[in-house]
Amino acid sequence: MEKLLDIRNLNKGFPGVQALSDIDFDLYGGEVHCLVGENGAGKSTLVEILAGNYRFDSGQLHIKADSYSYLSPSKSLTIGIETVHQEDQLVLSVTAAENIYMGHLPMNRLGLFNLRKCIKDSQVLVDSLGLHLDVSELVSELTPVERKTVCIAKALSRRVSILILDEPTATLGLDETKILLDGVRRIREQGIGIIYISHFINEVFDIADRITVFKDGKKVATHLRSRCSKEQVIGEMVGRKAGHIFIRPEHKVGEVIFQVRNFTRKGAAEDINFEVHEGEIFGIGGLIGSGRTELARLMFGIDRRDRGNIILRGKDVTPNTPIEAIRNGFGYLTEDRKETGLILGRPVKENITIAEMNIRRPVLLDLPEERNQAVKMVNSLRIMTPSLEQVVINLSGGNQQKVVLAKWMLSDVDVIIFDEPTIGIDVGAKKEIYELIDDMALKGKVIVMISSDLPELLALSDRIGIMRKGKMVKIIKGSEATEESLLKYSTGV
Amino acid sequence: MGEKLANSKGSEGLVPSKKSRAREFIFSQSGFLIAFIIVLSIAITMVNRNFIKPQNILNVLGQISIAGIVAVGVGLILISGDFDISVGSQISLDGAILAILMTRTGSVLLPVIVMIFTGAALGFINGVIVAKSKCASFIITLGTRAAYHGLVLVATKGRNFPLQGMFETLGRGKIGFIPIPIVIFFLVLIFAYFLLKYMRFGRTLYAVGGNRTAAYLSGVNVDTIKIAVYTLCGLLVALASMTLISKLGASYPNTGDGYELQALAAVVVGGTSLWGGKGTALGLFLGVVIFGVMSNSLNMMNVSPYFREVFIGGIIIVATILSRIGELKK
Repeated sequence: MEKLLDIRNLNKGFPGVQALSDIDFDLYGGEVHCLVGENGAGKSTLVEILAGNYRFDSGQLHIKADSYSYLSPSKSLTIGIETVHQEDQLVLSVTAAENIYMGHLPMNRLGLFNLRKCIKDSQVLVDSLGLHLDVSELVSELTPVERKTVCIAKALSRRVSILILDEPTATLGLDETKILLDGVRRIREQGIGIIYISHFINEVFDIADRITVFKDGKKVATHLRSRCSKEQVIGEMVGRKAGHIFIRPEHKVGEVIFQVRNFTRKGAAEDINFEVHEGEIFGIGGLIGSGRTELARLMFGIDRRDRGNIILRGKDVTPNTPIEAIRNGFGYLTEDRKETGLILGRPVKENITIAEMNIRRPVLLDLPEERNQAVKMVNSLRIMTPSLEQVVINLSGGNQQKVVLAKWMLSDVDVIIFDEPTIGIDVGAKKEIYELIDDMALKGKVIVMISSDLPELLALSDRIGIMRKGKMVKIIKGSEATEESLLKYSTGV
Repeated sequence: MGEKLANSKGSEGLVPSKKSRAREFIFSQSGFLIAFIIVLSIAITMVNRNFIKPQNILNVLGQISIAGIVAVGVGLILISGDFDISVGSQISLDGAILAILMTRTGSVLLPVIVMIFTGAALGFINGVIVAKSKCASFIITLGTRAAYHGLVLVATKGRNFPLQGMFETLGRGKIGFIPIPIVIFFLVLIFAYFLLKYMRFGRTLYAVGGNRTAAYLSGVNVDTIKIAVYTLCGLLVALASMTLISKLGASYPNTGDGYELQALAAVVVGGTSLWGGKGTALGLFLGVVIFGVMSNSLNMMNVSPYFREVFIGGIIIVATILSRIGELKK
């Protein structure tokens, strides 16, 4: 088969991170080349370079016979590179057919839109993928796998030679995944080269001709599928030293003080049960989209649950709204501090005291007292800010996260749910946040910590509950867990 | 802002000194607005010496005080991240109810009480719809603007209601040499200052306007806050309407026309963010003053009053663009 893509010694850096270093990667027509690696391994960066959204710093990029020093989005399309992103990029309010031909709709001789031809052509395209789907239906009426099919058909409606599928099955069930994989095989038969990115190792071994493993921006290895094992690939994906920046000191673990029972919201998280002992940090692992954040939102009363309750020191404290959750002693550090954690345009002081103020100050504020409290938090958490009046948008990520943490520490909550506590934070600040979390656990706070950062999860957690497709499939002791075992349970190998 | 870097040992670095606060103020938006008012006043005085006379200054303040009261209400809503463009219709409806009841009953106290309740109710209705539907408040209040105006016509059948000398003090009286509407305006401003600075409610308005989700997840009851701020605006509008009717000595079906735009113009000029989460009582005051000085100067320079609307529209557009540019720079 023809060699479609040949990448050599490719480098791409962002301020503070080398996203890709000395990457070699190639792709032949008629093969599925799977790309695997943890979050932050550099897969997306490579996709963005091929899609023309990033320029690379150095290296060679050959596509078919030509060599390129960079790609722009339009050049990438002209060459025949099509990317199907993880998030469906569809217009819900029009038919599948129109979505498939969006941007190059078929016209009749008068220059008017030819709906009949559009539907006919796209039906042929969808049928060729082996799917039963009526393309004259509105996208809003379609199931997830049908939508994904529309996305792929949309890519195929142009002259495509390289197709990039970024986590196409992340939101699909098992049966749906099968259907989609069959479709992918049919595309391969047409001689198109497919770069397939997925977290699901089983699926990768089902579809791949070759597998390339990325780790920390470097290529670890490329294997023929027939010449490697799942264990080998998982081993290559991880293997970073756990706890290289933080090791939790010895601590006592006491009685069970916190229980989550049968927490369920259909389609988000189902029948979740776990306990937390005094002094413990309970970690929650799993892939993105496995229901971790959904569980956190349920526990904090943001989304309505179907059933389930939470017991704290013998008392039922199940919240129905965030306000109730805070009154009952819960705090929640969301995974996106800018969107949902902070009021970016307001001063540090106000962001620190907002939750406390809502519980304890019914009408009037006590400004001097508020200032004292804020100063105390800023000092004890070592928040680097020129003044209490500084608007938080001007602080660094680590300091912003500390402000959110200060908010919950000040309101003296008993239970804190962390969702990706150190996302987008530099190593130094990470370490400080780990120390704060550890300290809170020692003081008898219940800590539930969701994280995609496996070394972090391993270093901090006494026990780890692993989520997969909305269920907590396994709870393992932190001391017995390894990155390999976490990944195995997360992906269901 | 702070020239010292964080000092983690004590509070000295964290709480700005008086000197740095003064410097900060001069370079803040309010400082800029004050400078602008001074320059504008000097320029106008050079064209027409009468401008700077105390009588004219009181005149300017008198002209803007009623729109100013409305502007405070609208400004508070804007800080919370929403709009109310029904305030003009609210003025007319509040006024109509006041005048009808006064002419029917011949008494003052009962109609005033009824009217205050009406004002609160109109704001409350806006607030409930906006909070519970989570729809764009601009469109919702565009709807209630039409509906409230329709109710005026229903209640009055399009007629005017002269008060025949009743209830004149509020709009035409003076305390010392200062007309009462000006006094009311300043009281309302002091109230707004206190509310925004010292009350949980005021602080919460900033939080909701700045990031509704984050506020909600920090335990703020967003819906209650929205309903409360619209109701408060309705009360302030009732106060403005009362003063206006008293000053005019009659209620007309179109008494409040145009007030929504005047209020909005003043609020925007005063640096209250159209995207919520920003604004101060001082800014509201300065915005109202600038607006007043500019319209007064049009009179002084004998510009036709027909140009007034053009001018208001222009101010809104220019101030919005300027604040957008400021926002983008950040």
